[in-house]
Amino acid sequence: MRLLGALLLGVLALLAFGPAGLALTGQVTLDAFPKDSSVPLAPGTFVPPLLPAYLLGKDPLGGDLLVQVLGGLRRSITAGAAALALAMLIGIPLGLLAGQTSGAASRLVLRLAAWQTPFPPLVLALLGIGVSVAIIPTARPASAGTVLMVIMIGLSRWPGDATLICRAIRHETRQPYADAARLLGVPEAGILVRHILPNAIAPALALVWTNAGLCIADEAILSYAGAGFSPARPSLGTLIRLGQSQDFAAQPLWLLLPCLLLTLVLAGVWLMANAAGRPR
Amino acid sequence: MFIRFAATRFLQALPVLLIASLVAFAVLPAPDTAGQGRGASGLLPERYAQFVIGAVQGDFGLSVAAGKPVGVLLGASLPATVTLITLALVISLAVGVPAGLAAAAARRHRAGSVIAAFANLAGLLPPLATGALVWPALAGGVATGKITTADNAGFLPIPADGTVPVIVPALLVGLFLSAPLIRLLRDGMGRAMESGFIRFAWARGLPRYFVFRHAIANALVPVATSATAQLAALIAISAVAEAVFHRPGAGLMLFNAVAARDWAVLSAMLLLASLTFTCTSVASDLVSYALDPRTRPARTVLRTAR
Repeated sequence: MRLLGALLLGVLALLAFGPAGLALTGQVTLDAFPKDSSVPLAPGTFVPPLLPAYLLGKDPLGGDLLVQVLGGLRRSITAGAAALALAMLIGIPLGLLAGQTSGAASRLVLRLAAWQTPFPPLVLALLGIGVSVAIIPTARPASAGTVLMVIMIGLSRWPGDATLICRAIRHETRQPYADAARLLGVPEAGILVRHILPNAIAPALALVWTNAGLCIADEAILSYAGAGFSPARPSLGTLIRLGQSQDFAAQPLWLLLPCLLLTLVLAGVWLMANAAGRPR
Repeated sequence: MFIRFAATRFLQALPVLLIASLVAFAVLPAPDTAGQGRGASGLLPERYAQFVIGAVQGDFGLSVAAGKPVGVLLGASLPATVTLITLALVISLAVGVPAGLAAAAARRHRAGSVIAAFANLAGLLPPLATGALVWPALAGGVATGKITTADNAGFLPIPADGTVPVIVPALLVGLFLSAPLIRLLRDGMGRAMESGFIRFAWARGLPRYFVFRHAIANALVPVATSATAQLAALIAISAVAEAVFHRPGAGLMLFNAVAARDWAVLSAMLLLASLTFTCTSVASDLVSYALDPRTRPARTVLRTAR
């Protein structure tokens, strides 16, 4: 399972970030491109140097479909990873704080988490994006929408991480091995670092992978609904939206490819989460 | 005791509603720029009071994109959403509970692993991709619209004729959410069946029915504790299903309000969402208080802090 997941994610990452994918970030000028294609290229088309142009045909905007879809995969993975990092950056320290101490700060963290927990993160992120755009008067440039989306996904996911970590720490500090270390005179910080954290690595890994899948799925849905990546710089969600607005019978690949890639990414992440949650 | 617990729980939820109402008020355009904003005169507190009074009476202002009062739009779309959510909930329970119990009973047989494989597959397929692929298959590949830019009103156009029957999104959401239910029940039943009190019940010669009843009662506890999260996921994924299948409803309204910058609708959806999710959370706490005596003293969600 773990091998299959790693293999799947590795291939996808290679496609998105590898030579074929990375070359797409820059705009390839028309004269730099080998003239082996009978189809004239639309201006501004991104073309990977190693593949023939229009291998899978054109995309809805006239560009190379394969390049567009791989770029969408790259943006989806990047945005999902960024949102995951933000959620963890907030959630893990707050969870440690709430789990290790029992003062006012700990209570405040748990109270905030308890307030936010009943809301589904996706709805919260969507509301957060709407509220930010409504309240912040500056017109947003194209990339600000993406940054805003990543921030909101991260903010919507921290309470889950914090409460899980807090609960795990409180459970472990009550275990006999922690008490034994305490009797031997090991300070609390030492118990945390040397005894509790090694035990918490496996569940933490499962948490990371589960959250990664949720963040990527949220990103796809928000972009699909027009609250994230724009059609000019599409992610997989935007591409699904674009493909759905076209005639499916005439151009099935426009919808099939982004749907397939999104499913494969989430399947890979899910396999990793499943494997990480299982004791070795 | 129960009354006191319920009262405390409601009081603790009040700040959320207060914050939500303040944000919902702040989202509305200021009266001098928009011109026709409600409570156009008066100081900020006065306008806020007018806003709250209006919201309580179902008056959320005028939707810019639709040109109709938000209350009217909500009244038209909420029944469809409630139908979808109810149907999806019924499907997820009707599939999840029997399948979870069967998977636990047949854990060592092929049938058990078939059910487990179904649960894995159903939980793995993203509703967005699945729904987006089911829809053209149903619509027979009919062109549904043109590419629109992100900031135009009606980013997700609602087709006048090609509305998908409610059972399709309900099946999508229900099957997706039955997967975690199956896993929870299978694991819970498995753990219960191997625990000491069940072994004792067998040893005592209790009839099979009573033994399973004890085990099921124990396996249901984790299901009850995760009910809030499951209900929240149900509502969120129903909104996604509405968007993917372009079914008019509250979820589609919310997605479109953000894309079209329709702040009156966004404000109303904020209030509606905070009210809904606060109520589900309070209700599920009260249910688990009534069901499971162990959650009663100081170990409820309220008092996780020791």
